[in-house]
Amino acid sequence: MDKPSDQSADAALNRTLRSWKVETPFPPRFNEQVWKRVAAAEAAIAETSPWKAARLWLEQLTLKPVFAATYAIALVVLGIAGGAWHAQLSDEQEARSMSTRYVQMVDPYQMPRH
Amino acid sequence: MKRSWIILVGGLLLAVLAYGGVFAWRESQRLTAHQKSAPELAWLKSEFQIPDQEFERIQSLHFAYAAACAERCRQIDAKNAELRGLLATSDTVTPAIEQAIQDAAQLRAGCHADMLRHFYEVRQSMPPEQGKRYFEWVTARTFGSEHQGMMFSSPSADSSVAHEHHAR
Repeated sequence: MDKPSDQSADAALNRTLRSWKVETPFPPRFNEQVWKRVAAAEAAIAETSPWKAARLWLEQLTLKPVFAATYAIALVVLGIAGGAWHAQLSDEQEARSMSTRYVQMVDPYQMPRH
Repeated sequence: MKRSWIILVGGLLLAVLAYGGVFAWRESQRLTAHQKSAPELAWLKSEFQIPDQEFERIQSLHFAYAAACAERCRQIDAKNAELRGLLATSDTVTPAIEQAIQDAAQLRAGCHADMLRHFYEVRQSMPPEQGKRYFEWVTARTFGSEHQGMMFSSPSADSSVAHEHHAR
C-alpha cells in the first residue's frame, strides 16, 4: 500500500511529465538510424556462434539452483551406481576365482601344472 | 561463467568421489573376507548360504580331509618315485613294474573315493537344497566330462606338482 504522501508525489510527477514538451528537434533521419541499429543488433545475435550460444545457455542454466541441485544429485547417484557396478564385477570375478581354488583344494589333480 | 564451471566440475568431482567411495567400501569388505585363514571356505559359506554352526562342521571336515589326502598324496608320490626308479633300470615290463602300477592305481582310486566321501559329508552338513546344489556343482567340476582328473590322468604325470596344494 502506498502512503498518501507517495500518491501525491506520483500525481505531481505525472503532471510534470505531461506538461513536459520536448523542444529539441530530432536529428535528421532519426527513425532510419533507430531501425538500422535494431537491424544491426538482430544481425549480431543471429551471427553468434553455436559455441557461444551454448555457453550462454549453459551459463544461464547452471545458475538456476534447481538445475545445480538436480545435476549434483544425478551425478552422485551415477557415481554410486558406477562404483557398485564395478564392485559387483570385481566380486563376480573373485567368486569365480574362489570357486576354482576350492575345487583345486579338494581335488589334487586340478592343481595347475607349472 | 566461472560459477558455472565450478558447478559443472564440482558435480563431476562428487560423482568421482561417490564412485570411489562405494568401490573402496565394497573392496574393503572383500579384503576382510580374504584375511580369513581359508578364503575359499569363506566363499563356500557365502555361495551355499551355510549357517555358522554347519560351517564350523564343514571346516572341520575340510581340514581333516585335507590332512588325510596329503598323506595319501605322499604315498602316491613315493609310489611314483618307486615306479620311475624301476623304469630306469628295466628294458621291459617286469612283474615289479606291474605291481607298482597297480599299487599307484589303487592309491589313486582310494584318493578318488575319499574325495567323493568328503563331498557327501559336506553335502549332508548343508541345508538339503544347498547340499544338493553343492554336490551337483562339485561333482561336475571334479568328475565332469571336461575333468582331467585322476581316473584319466597319465601315470607319468608328476604328481608331486599336483599335490602341492596340501603344503599350503
